[in-house]
Amino acid sequence: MRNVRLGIRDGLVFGAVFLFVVLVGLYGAFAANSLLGVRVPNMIFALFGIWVGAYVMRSVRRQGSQLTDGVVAALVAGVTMTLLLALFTFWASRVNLRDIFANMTPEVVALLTFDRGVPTGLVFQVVGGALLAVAGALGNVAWDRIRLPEGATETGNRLASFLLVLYVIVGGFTALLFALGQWGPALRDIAEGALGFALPNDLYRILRIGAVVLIVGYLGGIALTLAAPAQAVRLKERLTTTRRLFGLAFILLALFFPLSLGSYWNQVLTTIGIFVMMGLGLNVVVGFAGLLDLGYVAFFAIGAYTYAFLNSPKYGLDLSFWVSLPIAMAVAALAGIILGVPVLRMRGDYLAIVTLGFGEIIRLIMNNQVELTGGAQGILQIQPPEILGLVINTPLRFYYLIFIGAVLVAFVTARLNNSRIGRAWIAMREDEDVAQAMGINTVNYKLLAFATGAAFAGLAGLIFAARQRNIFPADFGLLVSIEALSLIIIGGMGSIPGVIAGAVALKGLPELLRALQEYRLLIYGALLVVMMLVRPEGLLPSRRRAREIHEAMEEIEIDESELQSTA
Amino acid sequence: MTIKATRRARTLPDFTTLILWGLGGISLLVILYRIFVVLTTQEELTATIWGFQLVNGLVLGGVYALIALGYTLVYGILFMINFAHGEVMMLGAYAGYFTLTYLNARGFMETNPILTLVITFVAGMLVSMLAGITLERVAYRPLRRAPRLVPLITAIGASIFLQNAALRIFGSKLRVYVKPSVIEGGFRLGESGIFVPRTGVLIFVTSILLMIGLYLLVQYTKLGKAMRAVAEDKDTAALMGIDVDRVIVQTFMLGSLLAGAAGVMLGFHNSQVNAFIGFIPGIKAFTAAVLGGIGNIPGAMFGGFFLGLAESLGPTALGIPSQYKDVIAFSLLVLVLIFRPTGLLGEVLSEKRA
Repeated sequence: MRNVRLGIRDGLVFGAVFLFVVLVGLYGAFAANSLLGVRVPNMIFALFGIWVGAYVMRSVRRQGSQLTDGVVAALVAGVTMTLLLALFTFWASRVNLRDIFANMTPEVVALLTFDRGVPTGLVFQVVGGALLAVAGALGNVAWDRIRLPEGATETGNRLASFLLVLYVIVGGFTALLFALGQWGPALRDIAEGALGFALPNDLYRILRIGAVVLIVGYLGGIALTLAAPAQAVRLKERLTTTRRLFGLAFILLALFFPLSLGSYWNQVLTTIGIFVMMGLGLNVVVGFAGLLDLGYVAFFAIGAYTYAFLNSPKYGLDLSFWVSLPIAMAVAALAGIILGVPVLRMRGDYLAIVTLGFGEIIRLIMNNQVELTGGAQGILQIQPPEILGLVINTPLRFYYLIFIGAVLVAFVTARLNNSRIGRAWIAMREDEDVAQAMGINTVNYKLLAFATGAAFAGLAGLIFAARQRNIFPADFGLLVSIEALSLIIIGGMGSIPGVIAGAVALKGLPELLRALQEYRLLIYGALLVVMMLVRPEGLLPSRRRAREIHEAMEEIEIDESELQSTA
Repeated sequence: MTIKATRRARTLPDFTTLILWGLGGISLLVILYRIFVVLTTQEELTATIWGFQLVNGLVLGGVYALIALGYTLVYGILFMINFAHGEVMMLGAYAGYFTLTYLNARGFMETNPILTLVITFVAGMLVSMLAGITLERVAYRPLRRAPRLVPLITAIGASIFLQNAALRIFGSKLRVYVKPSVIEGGFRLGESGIFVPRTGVLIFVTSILLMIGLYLLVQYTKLGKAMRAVAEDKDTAALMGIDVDRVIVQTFMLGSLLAGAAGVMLGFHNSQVNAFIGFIPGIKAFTAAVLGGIGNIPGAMFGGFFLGLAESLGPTALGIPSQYKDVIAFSLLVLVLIFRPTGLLGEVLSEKRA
């Protein structure tokens, strides 16, 4: 009986989530796509069915109940979930719901009923849901049965590390080969000249496909290993070398890969690069010093507008990019200090709101000071940078400029983090009062964090303005701050690889899946919540930060009881 | 660090305090001078304009005060800013819109305008309440023991999520609030001829009634007593036999109910709803809560009205374009946080909490 109730409850929750996916329009968004001959919406349906079954089975087994009980509960959950869906589908087919729910088009109703009309389609839903849930429940049991035994042996561990290192080397090498796509013909000539005979074309194709497979598998493997639970700690320790190799492979990839891409993808890469820079800067403020800044876009905007003032013919100063660069960074840093002074004594949440207000104020000023900033019409005709006569005006050239900038920023932040300053920030983040008692001048270090972060954002803004050529206040909305914050939180606060991974995931993936582009913010919001609930330290966290968060969560309970007894 | 550095660390806060107070004094003087200039030179600023802005400020203030109460209630107990509170309000506004449209289509609105208003408010409040409870259960409760940054980020995430979910679910088309005949139009007040819209009267009166209701509830019922106890000290309250989890849920319920009412009011005030109406009013209402002293219920009411008035009278008095009203609100927030972090109505929270 208890299991049936659990099944109904979980079925309702999953049903509500499913309904949400349908209402938001994600279900219908993929109507035209199919994967391996199955339409994506039907796959979503199957996924939910299997998921609810597996989930219910897992909770039932945790309570130590029988497998048959689990299957029954899963069946109940599957039926409950789909009944909820069927009820809604029925309603949507009878009444025109589009006035309320913009996405409940007849096409979506047809999708939900598998093109079989209302009574039949609803039966399909419920029966299908029940079967899938049972399959999911059985799958959950099977998964555990085939899992490898916990705690691998020493040899096994060593073998795994060896394979990983091998994989990294091979992966890096093939990545390089793949990246050389554009230079392929030249390389081919060399190779064939040395061999003295022509190699078949298919070989090159196979090599390239193989390289893609390897890169994807390689990145996925690393991500999985790093994200693995505590049992894999030993492996993680061994990963330090692997990580270095991985970093090297990543840099090689980042250096050569864009050569084989078209200008659209290079443009995407420059956007990612700009966000990497912003993320690294924000990481100094939020990740290292623990000051939650929601108005970070203000410094980005200040950098961009400073360059526009100094360079655009509108103002007649006509300073070059390289002269403007230190000025823009200095102005942004100064703005960081100006914002920093009044908020010195504020903590956590107040700081967030005040910085948010600061960002909005900057944007409003840009929007309304028409004589100065051109208002909503923005500033036009900003000149691109030039190096030794080479004008940087294509996405590829910008990519390399941004790459260099991002590497420099990453280097500086990494050095800062490992310095006396970085340790002072950590101390401040962990406990401000104690840090102060230890003789750390929190005022100076806070201002330093604000100024450093702001300077990097200013640099990103400068490059952004140079790339866009025309800038408008609309480019500097709150959204940019939120995106920068999301990427460092999802990537892992305080961790430089995390920031890069976050930027690639958040700015790059929506470009790959165009249908998701519209739902980007919805997904960011959901990701922020889910990450905080499940893995508050982020995907690739710095080890210290991860420990901090978990310790805080576990120890507060003890701390308070101690306080009670001593008070 | 050397002794010298330590000595500097001790004197520096005093130095910054000095600078801050100097800046505050200067800005106050500039503002006063500006008001003086505007008042003496701008002849066309008649009593009608001032009166209109005053009425507008009171109406807006009522809405802000209601939202601010939600922030204050939650902050008083959990010490977290419920960033998504504005979005809870937005959902209430949508619920009110759908109810109103439905009743209008049925012809019910024409026959029973007053009842329609009541039903609309109730619908908005109930939906907001459900949203608030769900939010607490799903997003905040599991994080109650986490470091403060964690629930804060969750709240920001929830806010973005709800905004965009509403945008996708309800679509981006314009949704216009229909007004029942009783609150259509307005009347002129006395000889000066200050125009008072009927919607404004409805909003003002309803918000005052709700605030009185809340005040009585917090002061004189068992639930209110429990809430105050939990706000004072969660662990001791638990020892006294108070179900802390339940009180927290009920606090969210109360705050969200008020937010729902505020959402419907904002719908009537702006005559339309969209997915983004919650965010900025939410931030401003938080400002209002801080103005009055966060965690302090009369303070939130006072702060709401103060902010509403500052926002509607401010641009006129300072002679700046009304687009800068948001700047006024945020500047007020910064100023209060610097000079009087406990709010204008005095000490409620200790330094540790603020």
